[in-house]
Amino acid sequence: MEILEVNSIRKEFGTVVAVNDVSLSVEKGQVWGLIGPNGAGKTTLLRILATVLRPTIGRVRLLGYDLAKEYLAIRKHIGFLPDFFNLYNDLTLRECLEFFAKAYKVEDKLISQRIDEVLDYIELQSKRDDFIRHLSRGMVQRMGVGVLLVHGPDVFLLDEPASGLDPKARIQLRAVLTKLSREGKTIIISSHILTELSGFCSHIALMNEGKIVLQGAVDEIQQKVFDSRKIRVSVLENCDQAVRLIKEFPDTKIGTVQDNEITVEISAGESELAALNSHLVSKGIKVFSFGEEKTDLEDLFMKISDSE
Amino acid sequence: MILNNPLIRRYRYSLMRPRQLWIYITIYIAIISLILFINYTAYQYQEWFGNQARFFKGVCYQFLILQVVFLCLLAASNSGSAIKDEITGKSYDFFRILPISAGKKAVGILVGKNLVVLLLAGINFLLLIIFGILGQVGGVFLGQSFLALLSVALLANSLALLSSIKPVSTKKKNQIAIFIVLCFFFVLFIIRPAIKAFTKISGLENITEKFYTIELPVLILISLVAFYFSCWAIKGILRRFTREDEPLFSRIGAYLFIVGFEFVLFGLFYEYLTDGARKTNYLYWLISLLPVLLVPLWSFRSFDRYLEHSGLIRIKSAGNKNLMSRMLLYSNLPFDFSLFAIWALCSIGTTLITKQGLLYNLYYIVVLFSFYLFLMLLLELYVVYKPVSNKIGLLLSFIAIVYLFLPLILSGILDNKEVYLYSLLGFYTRVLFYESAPGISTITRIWLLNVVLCIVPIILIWTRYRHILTARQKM
Repeated sequence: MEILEVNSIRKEFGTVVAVNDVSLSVEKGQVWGLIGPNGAGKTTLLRILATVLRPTIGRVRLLGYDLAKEYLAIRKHIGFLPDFFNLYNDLTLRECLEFFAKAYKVEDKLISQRIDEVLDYIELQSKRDDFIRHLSRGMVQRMGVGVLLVHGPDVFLLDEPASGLDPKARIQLRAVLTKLSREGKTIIISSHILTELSGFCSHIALMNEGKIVLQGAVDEIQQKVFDSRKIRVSVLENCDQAVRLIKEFPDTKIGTVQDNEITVEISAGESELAALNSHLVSKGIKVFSFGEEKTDLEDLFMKISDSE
Repeated sequence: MILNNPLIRRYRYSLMRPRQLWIYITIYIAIISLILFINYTAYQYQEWFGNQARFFKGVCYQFLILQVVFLCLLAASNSGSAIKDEITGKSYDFFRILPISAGKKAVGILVGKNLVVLLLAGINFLLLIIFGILGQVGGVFLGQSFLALLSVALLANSLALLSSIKPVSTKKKNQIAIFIVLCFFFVLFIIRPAIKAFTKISGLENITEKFYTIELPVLILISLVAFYFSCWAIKGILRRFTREDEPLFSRIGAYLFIVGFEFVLFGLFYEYLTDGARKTNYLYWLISLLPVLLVPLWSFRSFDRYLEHSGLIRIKSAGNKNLMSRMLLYSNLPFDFSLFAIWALCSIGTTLITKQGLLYNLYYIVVLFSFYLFLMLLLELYVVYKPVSNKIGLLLSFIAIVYLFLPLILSGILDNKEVYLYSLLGFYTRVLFYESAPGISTITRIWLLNVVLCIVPIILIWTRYRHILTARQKM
């Protein structure tokens, strides 16, 4: 079921074209990562989808509503977490969630229950009566997600949610977002820190200079972009002999050799990989680790950027 | 119902915490204790008031002043800081996309942000009534005063909020100019009834002023004028909350504002216009010309809108025929001219009522139009060249200032009695304050100079319109 349809939108700020002829189709339950360097147009695109900005040209339909005309209806169904946000410092967590629940017209009798659920979800139940000003940045960021969760939006729009967080806070936030994606929520998340999105997005859209230069399911794009697999082979001894044997094997290319560890690029299927492993063992090489190195979004991004 | 507004609830949580509330109440109690103590001491030991009733009456008036401070100053300051707080607190994006109506947002801020002030004003109101009764202050006076106070407070608060709302896609600071201009118009409208009221403070409730042919108590008249401007300020707030990146006035809104302005001003001037005084006619012209000059500043379509429109007409029309004429029609200039046309019609009307020479006044209108045309062309230059240069506004403002003041300076230096007429200000001063009208040849020369001055802006604007359309066709 298509939940979002972006049709050739363009956003100009004077003579600067921030988003240029962008089209996108998002289905229910998909997690889209908007990736690209700073100034690529990710934030502008998200702000358009969040009804904060209006596109100069083009149409957007979100949950069947026309963004230009029915933005109030759209706002009820989305949860937008801007970059560089803060919450109401003079409220406690409970009061803040209650305010957003009221504003998003959550039924009065359900509000208290929803607040408890959300605080459990973002693991801030113990802080429910603390003022927001007393929270750490990581907690505020999680609370930001909580504010969105309180009304149960159909689409989450998250703009660089982990920027400025320390590693621990980043891991905690990532756990919350992973939970959301597993629950089948539709999420569009932007980031220029690619590891933040790795293993989390089902789809990606690579943006550069206002345009989407590549988009689709992560697996499909990986297949399209990477024509070979990267294998890491670790041996106990005779590393030089192992390198020679690998070189003899068809469609292989040695990458790096370091401390008895060899990286190999091989453009072949799984049976050929098994054959290579058997070949090494049969020649007396003591292989203690043989595995495919998964390419993450960072590799993908670099590969696409290079080909651009 | 009103307390169910989520924003009011949010402010109630943050502002009405017992610890904070007790501080405000303690300060208030200290102030009223001080007022009572000073007045009572003066009554007992200095015989300032003469009798007890006058003492109560005096205190009642002081509480009324305190009420003005609460509702017009403290409350307006709170209303004006609400959006600034959201921006500096980095929560403005959340506020913007709250799925509640613009009306609820406005009420939420105006009431919610002022909960403490309203509480104190409520207590003050009760004390004021008690002292009013003890001091035998007239009910009609108190009623009229409250009406005037509430309407002026509504105006002050709504204007403060309106001027603080920051347009979303610009880096502009808050729009304090709209606050100043609407306040200026309000003062201009009520200045005559207000002077009348202050010169006869005793029996204020019985002083009247005419609106068209209706005799109204001055306080009621002031309330009505304040309420009229409040309606526009509230309309502006609602528009800012729903269409943040659009100008403050829609086209229709601007027309209605000008027509409404003319209607109210005409009502206030009617009594004096029918006396047939020449100066009253031109004073009316002057006051009513001000919004015609200022409203385009808050209703012009920006360069982005031109881009959007040129894209739309390209999509709608199969070919590129008549793109320029459609672009011209869409541009700000026809709108500016129609505002002037409304003013011209009303000015012809006042000329007929005051039985002034129609033909000569038509000449005046044509010359004033040439001044107006040049200024509007400068505004349009700003619109179309803003994306090219951020400082174009500064240059054009400088040109406008030179245009308005250089003839006056030259006239002084050259000791020439005609040069100053080439400035809008000088021309109007001559028309308003001198009985002798400038000759036809002088009027024609002024008109010709303005037309010549307009040529360069017209060429530059035309070039830019063509550039927009060419750029769109290439896309």
